[in-house]
Amino acid sequence: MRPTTLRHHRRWHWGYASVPIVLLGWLVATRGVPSFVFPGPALVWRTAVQNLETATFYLNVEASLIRLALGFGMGSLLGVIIGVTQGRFEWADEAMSPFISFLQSVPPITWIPLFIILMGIGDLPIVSVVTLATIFPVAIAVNHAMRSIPKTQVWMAWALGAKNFRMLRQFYLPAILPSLASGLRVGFGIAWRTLVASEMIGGNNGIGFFIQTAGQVGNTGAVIWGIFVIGGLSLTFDALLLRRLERWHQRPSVAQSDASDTA
Amino acid sequence: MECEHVGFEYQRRPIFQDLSFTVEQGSWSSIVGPSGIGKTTLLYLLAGFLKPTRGQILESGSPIVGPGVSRGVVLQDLALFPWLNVLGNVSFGLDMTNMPRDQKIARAMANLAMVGLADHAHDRIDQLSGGMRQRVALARTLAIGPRILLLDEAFSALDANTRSILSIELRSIHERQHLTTILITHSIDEALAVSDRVIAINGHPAEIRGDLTVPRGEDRALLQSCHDTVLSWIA
Repeated sequence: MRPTTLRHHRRWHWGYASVPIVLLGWLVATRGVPSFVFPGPALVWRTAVQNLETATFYLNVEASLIRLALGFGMGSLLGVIIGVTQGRFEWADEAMSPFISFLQSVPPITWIPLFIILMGIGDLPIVSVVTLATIFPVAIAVNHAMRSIPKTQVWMAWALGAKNFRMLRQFYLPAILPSLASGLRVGFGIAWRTLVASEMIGGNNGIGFFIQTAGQVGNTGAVIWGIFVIGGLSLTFDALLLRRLERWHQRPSVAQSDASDTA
Repeated sequence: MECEHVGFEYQRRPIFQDLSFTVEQGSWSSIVGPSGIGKTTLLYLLAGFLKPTRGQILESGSPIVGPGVSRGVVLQDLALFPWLNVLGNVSFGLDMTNMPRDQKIARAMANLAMVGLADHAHDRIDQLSGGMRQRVALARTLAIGPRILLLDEAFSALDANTRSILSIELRSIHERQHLTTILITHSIDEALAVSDRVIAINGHPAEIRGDLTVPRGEDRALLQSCHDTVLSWIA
């Protein structure tokens, strides 16, 4: 235990130490450069403080988060359904694999012009493209996880009476959960990047739209502040949601927790 | 349980062509044969995991068309569910029923107590020794109340002491619960130690080479004679 703890502390010290080093490097890099070309930390800080006092900033963040929740949520659900169907039925895998291989190789953002023509400017094309961005990494991870379950475990679940929805809920989903969590982390990263890019192209609000409009008027401080917001939110989601999800597969079952309660 | 002219092919290679035998209710039969002969495949057929390519297997006069809770199975690799702890594994089959939760837990705990693992109910599977995992797999299968118990090399991964203790416990459970037990094993000694009857299979495709009723008692000379007879069938 001791060496692990020491290594952990050392890593944290380096993590803290790297912040002033990066800030110093940033300061040095921006010396002599006009602030409208490459702003220093002070200007970005002032812009951040001003922005945090305006309602528009929060409305932009809110719009992005709602789109992300809808797109990532629907994409994850569809990805799980597709992946489970592919993993469970050979014919479904054969039928869908060529399309999934093709579609997952296409950058999701390339769909945005078509979706804007079909759906107009607004939430719908952005949510649709975020959904599309999420589906494939999740479906591929789930399909792979389904195929990795040992055949004897599946047989044993059947022999113990599992079938239909109970088989899905109490056998397949827990069995694929570690891979699903990894697929969701990958999917989330792609969804988040696609969301910001989509808002820059076809949004009328949101963080991507905020950065785009700031760039158009030469407000580079706001551009960098927007980048910080995107990175900060992403790290927050990862720490609060996705890493916890990866640990979720070690949770006790209903019967287990009941027994613990009564013990 | 009856096998009627059962044949099975894997990748066009016949594993069995015409296998027929009947297992009496309440008896313990062991099927012995050399490694790679298709013993595990036979267990998968009896469990309903695989379908015979010819003939049929009957349970209480009805053809087996798939896995069923009346036939409890303990596989050689145990196939425990690593995302569940010991109690979660044992209560898995009960979770598939509409039994009230407190009854499920009580029954799972009773089965764990029966195999001597009541104190390990909340342990993770990867914290257990091979013998303990074997007991968890057995408790999980017995918890669903099968009439027939199918065991694939149930003692093979165990050391000699654990094997001896577990085989005595299993025989006792078999008698107490009036189970019909079929043990698949490559070990003649193991089969003779616990069974009422030994069926020997050998050949490619595998066929029944001999069928022996095991005498009960401590007559070592008689047991050695049985051992030699079975060995001559599968050698």
